[in-house]
Amino acid sequence: MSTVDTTRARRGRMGRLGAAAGVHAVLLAYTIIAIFPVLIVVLNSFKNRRGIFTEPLALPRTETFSVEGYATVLTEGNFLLYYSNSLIVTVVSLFLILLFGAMAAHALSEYRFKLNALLGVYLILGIMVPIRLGTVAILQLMVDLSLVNTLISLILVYTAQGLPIAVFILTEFMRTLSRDIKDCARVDGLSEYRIFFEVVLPLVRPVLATVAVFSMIPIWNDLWFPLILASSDATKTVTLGVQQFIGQYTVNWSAVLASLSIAILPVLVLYAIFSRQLISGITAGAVKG
Amino acid sequence: MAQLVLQDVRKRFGKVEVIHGVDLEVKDGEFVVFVGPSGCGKSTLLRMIAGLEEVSGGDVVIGDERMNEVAPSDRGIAMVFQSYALYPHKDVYGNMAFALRHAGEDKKVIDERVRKAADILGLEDLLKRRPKELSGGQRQRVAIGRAIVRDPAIFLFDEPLSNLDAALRVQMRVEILRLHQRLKTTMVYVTHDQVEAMTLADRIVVLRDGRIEQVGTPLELYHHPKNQFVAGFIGSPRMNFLPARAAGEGRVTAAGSGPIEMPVEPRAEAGELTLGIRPEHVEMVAPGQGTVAGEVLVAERLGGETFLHVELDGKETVVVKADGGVTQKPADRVGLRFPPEALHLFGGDGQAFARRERQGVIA
Repeated sequence: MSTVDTTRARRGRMGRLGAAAGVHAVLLAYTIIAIFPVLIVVLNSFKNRRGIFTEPLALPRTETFSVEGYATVLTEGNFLLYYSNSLIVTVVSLFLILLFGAMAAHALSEYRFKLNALLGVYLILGIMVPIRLGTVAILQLMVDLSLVNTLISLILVYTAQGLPIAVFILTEFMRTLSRDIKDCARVDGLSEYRIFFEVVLPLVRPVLATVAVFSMIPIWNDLWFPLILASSDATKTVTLGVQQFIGQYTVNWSAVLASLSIAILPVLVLYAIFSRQLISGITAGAVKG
Repeated sequence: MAQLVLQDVRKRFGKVEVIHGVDLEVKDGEFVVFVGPSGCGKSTLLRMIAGLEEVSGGDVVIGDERMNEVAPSDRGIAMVFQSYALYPHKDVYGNMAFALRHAGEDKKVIDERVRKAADILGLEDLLKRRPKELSGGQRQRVAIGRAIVRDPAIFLFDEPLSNLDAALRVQMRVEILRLHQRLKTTMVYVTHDQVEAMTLADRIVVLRDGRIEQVGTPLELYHHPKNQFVAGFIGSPRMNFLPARAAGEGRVTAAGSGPIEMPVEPRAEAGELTLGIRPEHVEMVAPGQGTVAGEVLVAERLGGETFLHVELDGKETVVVKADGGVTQKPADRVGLRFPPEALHLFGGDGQAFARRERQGVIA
């Protein structure tokens, strides 16, 4: 009896180990595939042109090591300007997405009013319709508003693009918030706006961070709208600025790779900031869970 | 300090009416408990008093002022919620001071009031803690402290003890009682637990389906329930109900018994009758003696007392509260005596016959 039990137990443990190993193998493979191109970009950004072409996969050696790419990027062209353009557009758009997304979500989840469900569907519909389908109309609109070649045009478009998913995620989460805590704030005399800012927003911070990460990446990486709406030299973003090193006949690969490597940095920093917030459980202890 | 008056208060959600005209007067300093099964509208009624639900009809009057359209914060009330509803990002002090800070109260006054409330509730050492660092009992104490700090005219409690474990619930019940004795403020308390209602209330309001079934002191409700619903709801284990038939001259027969003298005022009643007797009033006697006889189905032994579930020969089940030391086992035959003075009688519509003797009046 006991031997049967132990063999079964052992088989169970081996089975679990096997399953864990399998899961980790898959994850590891995925990680390698995901990181490999990034790693190649960063590695080759530290090589000279010869090094890039003769041995693209090798680590930089003394003969091939060079920071000429970085030098070109930082001295030639307005790279710092592009960089700050990208940052401004991304950060302001994110702020607007989170603010308006959270406000809409709060209204949809908290208040009972006619057409509530319909309005919710309308706000979320944007998830299913790619905003690029409206490019021509958007361009016409921006021309009419004299907003072409301004960062504002990009901020407006990205805010519109990010709102549907933000409203969707935040509404779902806010529905799960305890009604008591908001009622308590009402009894304490807070206005509806202060309830939103002082009670609801702190409670949804982890979700705001999640939405921020989701929304940030496509904005930072976008080439389409900068190219169409703001391609002037003063309003170029990083992704667009990189194009100046890609000529019709020659491509300055060192500079391209160096600028891409630098472009990764702020996203990493922003991600690090938000991911600290992703640790949920901030509501623990407020209400009986 | 204030009295609370509800006049024909109604609540409709869309077309559905859930509160059907409630009239109630709560005196200054009184502890009133709303009790009833879930969905009876007791929480909705409380939220209407607090101003968190709109009043669809009738008036809510606090003090001498009609409050229907007054904001919750201006009604002079404080509310304690079932889920504590503490602000998770503020420490205990911040939670208790929040309402006053928001009202622009002087810092010194705030500090004084928070410390006083913390002193009453024994929270002095916890003022710097966050809610997540507190136990359930402590959290509920902070929630009560937050209410005390506001120095309200009326305290509203919405099932404040339902989330606590049994031992803590008993302890907090006593604390709330002592708090009321100390503050002497009007309190309205909602619960589905009749034990809480019995132990806490000056007066109990029994609600069912958005209507008041009966209002009275705990002992009034226990001894003189107006109808079968209140009789079954108050008391634990609940009252035994047996179908009965009139046997003339103010007597009835039930479950194969002989005619039993009833201690009630006679009333013309055509329909089915129901005899009621509480488990603690049934006496166990030798088989063959007593009012009815039956067979023990189950014996629940709690140590100090034993609940015997007895199946009568007419197949009805009667619960008997007996001594902890009774030796009867399942399948044993027993006789049960129904002392006439302890009996209740209900008409076909569930309305109780008035009992002749007033009981449970504490002078």
